[in-house]
Amino acid sequence: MAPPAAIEVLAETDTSTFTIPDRLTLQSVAKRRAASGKVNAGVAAAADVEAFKGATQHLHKPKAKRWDHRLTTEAKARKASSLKNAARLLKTPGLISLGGGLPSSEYFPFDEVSIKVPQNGQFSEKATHEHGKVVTAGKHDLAEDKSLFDVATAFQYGQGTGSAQLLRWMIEHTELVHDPPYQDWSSTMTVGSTSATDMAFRMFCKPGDWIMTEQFTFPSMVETVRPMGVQVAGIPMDEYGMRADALDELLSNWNEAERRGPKPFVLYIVPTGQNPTGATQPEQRRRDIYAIAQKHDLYILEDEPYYFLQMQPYTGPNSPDAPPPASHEDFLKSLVPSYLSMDVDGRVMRFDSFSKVIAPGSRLGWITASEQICDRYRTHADFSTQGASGMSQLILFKLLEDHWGHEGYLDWLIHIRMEYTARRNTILGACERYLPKDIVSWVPPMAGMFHWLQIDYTKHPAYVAREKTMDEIEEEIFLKNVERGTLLMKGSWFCGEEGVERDVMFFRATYAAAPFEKIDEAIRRFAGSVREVFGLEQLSNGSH
Amino acid sequence: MAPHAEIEVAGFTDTSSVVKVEVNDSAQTKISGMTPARPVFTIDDVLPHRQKSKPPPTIVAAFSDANMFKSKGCLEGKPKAKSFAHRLTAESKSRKPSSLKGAMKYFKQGTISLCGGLPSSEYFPFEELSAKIPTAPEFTEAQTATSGKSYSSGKHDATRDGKALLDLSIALNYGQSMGPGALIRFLTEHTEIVHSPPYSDWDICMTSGSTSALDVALRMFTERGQYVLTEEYTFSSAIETVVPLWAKMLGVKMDADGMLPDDLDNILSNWDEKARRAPKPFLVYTVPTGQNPTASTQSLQRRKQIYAVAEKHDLFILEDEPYYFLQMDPFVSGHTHAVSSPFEPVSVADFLSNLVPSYLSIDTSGRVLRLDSFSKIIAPGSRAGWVTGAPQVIERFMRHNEVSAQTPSGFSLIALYNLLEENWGHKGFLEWLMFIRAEYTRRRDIIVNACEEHLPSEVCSWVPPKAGMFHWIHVDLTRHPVYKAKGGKQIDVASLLEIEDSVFTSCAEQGVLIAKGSWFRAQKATDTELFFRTTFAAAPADKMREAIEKVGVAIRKEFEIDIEDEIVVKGSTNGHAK
Repeated sequence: MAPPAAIEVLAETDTSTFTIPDRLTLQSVAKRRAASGKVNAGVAAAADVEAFKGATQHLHKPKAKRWDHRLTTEAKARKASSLKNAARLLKTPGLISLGGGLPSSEYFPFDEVSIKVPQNGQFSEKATHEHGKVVTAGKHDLAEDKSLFDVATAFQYGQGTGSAQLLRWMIEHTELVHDPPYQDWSSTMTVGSTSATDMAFRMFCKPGDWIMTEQFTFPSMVETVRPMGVQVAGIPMDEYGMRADALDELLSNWNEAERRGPKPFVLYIVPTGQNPTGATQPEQRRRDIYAIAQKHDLYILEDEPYYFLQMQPYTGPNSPDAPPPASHEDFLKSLVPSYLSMDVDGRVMRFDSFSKVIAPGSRLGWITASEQICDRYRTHADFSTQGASGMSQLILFKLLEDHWGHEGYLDWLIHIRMEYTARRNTILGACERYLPKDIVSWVPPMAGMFHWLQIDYTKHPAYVAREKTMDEIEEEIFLKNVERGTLLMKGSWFCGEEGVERDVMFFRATYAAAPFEKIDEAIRRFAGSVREVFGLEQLSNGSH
Repeated sequence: MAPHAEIEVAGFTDTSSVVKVEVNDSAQTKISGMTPARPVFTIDDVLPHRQKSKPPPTIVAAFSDANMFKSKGCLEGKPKAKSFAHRLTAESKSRKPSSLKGAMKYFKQGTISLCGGLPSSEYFPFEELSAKIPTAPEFTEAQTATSGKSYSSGKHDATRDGKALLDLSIALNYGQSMGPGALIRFLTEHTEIVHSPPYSDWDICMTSGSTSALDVALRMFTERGQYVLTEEYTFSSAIETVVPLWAKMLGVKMDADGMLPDDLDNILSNWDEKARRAPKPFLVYTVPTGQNPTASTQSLQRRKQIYAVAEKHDLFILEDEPYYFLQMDPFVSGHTHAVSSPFEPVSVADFLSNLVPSYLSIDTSGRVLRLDSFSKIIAPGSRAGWVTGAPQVIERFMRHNEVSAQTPSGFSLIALYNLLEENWGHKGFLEWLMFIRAEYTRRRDIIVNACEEHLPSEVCSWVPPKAGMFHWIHVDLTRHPVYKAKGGKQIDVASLLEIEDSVFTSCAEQGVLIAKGSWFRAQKATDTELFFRTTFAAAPADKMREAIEKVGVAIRKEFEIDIEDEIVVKGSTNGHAK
């Protein structure tokens, strides 16, 4: 679906017309902010999401479907906190509250908090060390009109949505990148996507249910749902991630008696740089899966920690690198469109996280979904995680809003993209150099932190002689790695569905953290293990 | 650019790195000529103990636990905790450690790990984090602005430069769910100094605040259809957390000293599964100190009695103690305690001896999970706290945290580390708590004196709070015109709630927000008496007095009390009778 043209005009009533507004751009953010007026930024202030979205920006879009038939009774039973309901009265000017148990900020032992962070465009650790900028938040900056956020407000109790100040930034960012195609989308803050997925599963799954996900998946997700009495069905994948035809087939032929569970409707996917396979679904694959979701009325959990770790095209070992994106627009266009951006029904909950692009320790992210779902999420958060750490919120606000702005953040993401590209190229170069290609094969990852290496175990002499199984060969390679001083994850650790026959063998390597020369050395050792296990000759001096 | 070799992350799983279990040498090795273990661990023992012990690990996502930091006296000569496996839910029992951790045991010197998905700290856009914080005992906001000192954490202070025990490269990466070693050590020492649990193998896990910890604990101990025992008036969020789990709250009667052990025993001894349609309950949720909303504080005697009931019926106790350190000096009518300026802390020993001992400190069986929080004593926005309990329970708690909240925010961890470890130490922290206590005493005096002055004594009564942030006001319904009109018949719940709402609304119309007692009722719509909760935690003194005066107006209006008639009785019966 093409984005609506700027001049498209619709009939609103019989006698008036309505002009579809232009999509939000970096340039038009300031204008919208001016139009929506001052942010209600005080202690535990409720965020006015509609104002942040622009009052008339999305009115031409359809409303999201309702999900009452998909929510658990637990999720539906949650009531708004009676105390927080009363806090709405706090907006009354001059009100004296003896109601809520909020301590006075007088007793927060912090006068100011400062961070030294990179200047726009000078993002390396060295440049930051030498001439990073110190950004400071004072205790009462808000009252003193110096900033929209301060220590006294951020370190206080807040709403389950997170602070209005930072939420506005998230909503604008979401609109700049995804522009969801329905009217009543909303966002709310999380304490990171691990917690957010736990809460989402509690909202949609009851004991005895199944969820669907990629055939190889992040074990923590499985470990989150199993104790809830929920089973995981793995959908076969190819190099582009989950296969749409396989998903349709599973659903169309679901046998409740055999599976001992109702036909599933929760689809958990990591569409970009999937963990562990590194697979990235291209746009068409996403559209195909979304169509299946519509056909079977699925609800999609789109977990996207690696979305902005989409890298430059891989040009091969001896070719020049692709030039970096020339502009913010080019950068945004280079990204594979998200499920959220094609979600006309409001059937997607997207999880964004700062863990992979700012720092895991921020323990802060956000979800985007229809207002009905966000409302249930917020109500749950009020009684569990509450808001994200105020210290994290304040520091990210100072960095993203007061210092970088949307443009600076996109520049940072481009920097991260180039860095991960260099890391990915390092591991691919080492694989090209050292690995026996008739046994080990791979698809160059387009996104994320993981490189997924397939081993053709059928070429193993002991397999041919029927003396060893696939699992035994996997273990043999793993232990040989240990002996040679390198560690890669076994692919079998990532099988989501219990008791399913496998006929493929993989190892997962990450290029996210080790120094470049160590990545090279680790792959050299891995190649040595494979050659030894398969009875091949070792390379003489580490190259062909 | 390749990152520095020194900061290489040896990641194993996608959220953790090398796990090394180290038990403190000094705690196990006999040192010749040493005097027998001291029965009490004090702040003076901290430094010598640290000098003999291994420091906390300073690598990314390193494992630590309380045993690594306990003193000899804490480990020896005490029983181990009992098993409470029979109390855990099926959900909790089925949690497995991350399967990816299987790779960990294979790590050895010189191994290059391409295993874990921990990002490189090279890509954390923070070179340094500083906070300006008060120097003990110059704790006021004005003093902090002038004499406060800035404490900074750099990215590699610990991992590369050896200058600190925690740095941004550790705190801002993924971490083990119990929290970083430097803080686990501080909290272990704090627990010994303040509580000295009477069993040896207690452990600690940091939490993302007690609201989150309570949600986790309830999921660990509450199956569908079960009852949770609590005070008849309780923290409304606790009720709202329990209900969606398909569990129910059962209110135990209380007086000014909190939950009544007789009623607790009575409920349990006469439990009829059929009539109740639920198994006999075993989980007690209690706020022993400055309880929310009633401000009741259980005496040591009361705690011992309740603990004895717990032993008798094999209960498990969730001891939620956000207000523990907000224990105040006794109220004296007409007097407002001043906070000395400059602030003069008393000795640590005096301060500690004035605190009512915790359940943790009398817990010989390991049947208590204590929830501590930084929210009320440092800042709610820290979203950080810790739980202390038996190792089996803490282990299950950590398994749960790994797949939900994970750890507190790394920014919070760094701020707390600088505040507690680098700046204050145990003495400074305890002196800060003395300061907070003095401030809350002053605030409590203001609101209670205002109530004596402005509320109609013939209908309003209260017990001056001994701890916490709340003042709980009883309003005598038998003085209400409806009661009189009904000829002295008990007022039904609907009328009670109407009267309550009328007072609430009348306050709000005058610009005053108070909390309704019915919001805190453990079992909804079982109210028989009328209460309002007010807090003295935040409003300035003159505003508090003004607000209470308006509450007085609202109650007089509702109860049709003429101020002229009242002056006659003023002062004579202004009572604390409840």
